[in-house]
Amino acid sequence: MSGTLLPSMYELHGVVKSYERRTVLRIAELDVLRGEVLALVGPSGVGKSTLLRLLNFLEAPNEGTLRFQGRAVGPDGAMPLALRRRVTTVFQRPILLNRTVRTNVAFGLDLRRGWRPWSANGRDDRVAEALERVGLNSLERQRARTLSGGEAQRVALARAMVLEPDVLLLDEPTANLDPYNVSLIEDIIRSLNQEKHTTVVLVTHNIFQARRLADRVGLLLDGSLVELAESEAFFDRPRDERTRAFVRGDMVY
Amino acid sequence: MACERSASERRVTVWWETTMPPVFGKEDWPRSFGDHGYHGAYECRRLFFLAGRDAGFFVACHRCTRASPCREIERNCDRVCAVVRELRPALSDHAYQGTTHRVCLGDEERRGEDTINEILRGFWQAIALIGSGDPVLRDIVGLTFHVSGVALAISAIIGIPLGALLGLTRFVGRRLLISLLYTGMGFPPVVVGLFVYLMLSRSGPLGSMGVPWIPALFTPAAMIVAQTVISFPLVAGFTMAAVMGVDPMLRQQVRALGATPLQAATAVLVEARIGVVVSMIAGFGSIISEVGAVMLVGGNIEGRTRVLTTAVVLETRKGDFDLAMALGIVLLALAFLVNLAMLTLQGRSFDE
Repeated sequence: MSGTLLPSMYELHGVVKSYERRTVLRIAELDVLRGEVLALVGPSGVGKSTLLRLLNFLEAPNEGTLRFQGRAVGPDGAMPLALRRRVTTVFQRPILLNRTVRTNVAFGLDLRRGWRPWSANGRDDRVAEALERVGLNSLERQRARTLSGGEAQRVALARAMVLEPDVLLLDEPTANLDPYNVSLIEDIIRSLNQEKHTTVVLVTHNIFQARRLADRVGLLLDGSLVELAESEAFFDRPRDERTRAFVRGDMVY
Repeated sequence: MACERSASERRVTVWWETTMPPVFGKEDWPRSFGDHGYHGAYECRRLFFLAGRDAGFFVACHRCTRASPCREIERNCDRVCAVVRELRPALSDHAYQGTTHRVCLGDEERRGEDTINEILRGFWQAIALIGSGDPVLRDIVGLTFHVSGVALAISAIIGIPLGALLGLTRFVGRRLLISLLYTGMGFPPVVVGLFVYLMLSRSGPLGSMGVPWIPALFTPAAMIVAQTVISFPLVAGFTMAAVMGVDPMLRQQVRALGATPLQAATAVLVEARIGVVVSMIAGFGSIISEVGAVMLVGGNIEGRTRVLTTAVVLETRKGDFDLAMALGIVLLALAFLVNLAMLTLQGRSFDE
């Protein structure tokens, strides 16, 4: 990881993202702390996924600065591959390659290896370990297309974990799953955060999940951050009227 | 012209003097071609011609093309010439070129054959030809694969990246390029042949430059150029469709896992691999079965630019249906085997 350990993983200042003159995201101030689980909640279409794309350096903000471990990514600036490779995202739908489970999990490692097939040191061990963590080591040779939804999402999680990223971004990772797989995946996220100190940013519209997992919770509405507080404070003593409505479940989404 | 039951019927092909098929090549022409006074059998490489006494035409007998001159036709020369002359006014010279007729000869026992026999015989001869490893056939097959294989390789090198580019990126002029590509996919090969012919001919814009690496007309290299022009739009078009069929989220996911743009494009191509193989099969199928362009650009010169399809055309027009069928069967079988091999190469991906 980086040499100097800053308390913040990300620092966002006045970040604006718009598509064809429609502003979808306007974050005045947001810090993501090292080693925390930050949950971002809110109804659909308020810019949560857009924010994750910015945090994964898949897109650059139109305005403002986004700092990652002290390094700034300016508005529409170049996004170094080195930064992008320290972060990864698991999306709502597990998008697996039509190949074996093992190839899928090894994919990110192979990308980093480039054209040097001889430097495979420990790749297979790391893949096996990641699959062990998600409880799927018996399916290593199976084709990814034949997996169930829950298994596929766990493979997607293993594929992200095997990279040992500084930050793991989760975009509604359990939205389509049954309760058993939801609890499995939540356990994996929790243990990853506690054992490997991976910073986790979790986007969800399930406030119960946010409460179960997060150290801090933020509410996004119409592209801006309404409230960001410690989990307990957020749910028990919300300051903003809209947070209160959302937590009570009054907000229709 | 039905014969008497007892008459011996022969099928002959008529070539008018002025329209001797250039496809035979110079060395195939009867030695005393143009000598109207002579009549008799002329021996040339594959055919035995009978010159009309003063008619300016030549007759090739079907049954005797390989063994010895057709004594029967020679003997009945006047009769044959009369028959052909009788036919002549009905058609213009050009329409007559290479036409096949049945001619009755003498009163010998009839040895006519019907088409069914012809097909069966062709089939057996095809098997025998393939089995015997006939050197002429081997050369033709070898050249066919050389030309179409190299053309396909070049098409893949150009077409697959082009298809991926069109399928994955948005840029100014993309729609125009796609329209052009779709036009190219349905382009008549013979028009491509004409175009390449004009380009490469010695008075053409490319041929007149005298640059050594620009292929000359009537060479395998020129045929490769023509076939590449025919097949690369197919490879690019089908690759583009396959790439566009891949889940658009895949690219984002792959980038989120740390892929460079090139790695992301490669991952999408690998994901679309069945479609890419299909694009190659489509490209290969279009050129291995194509006649017009290779005929125009290659010239069907025996031993140099004769490929399976042009050989089939030649043998059919000569009336040598056995050999034509044999070549046709070889062509079919080889195309089938190649496609099978391509599909097996990427094997297990087809089990879904």
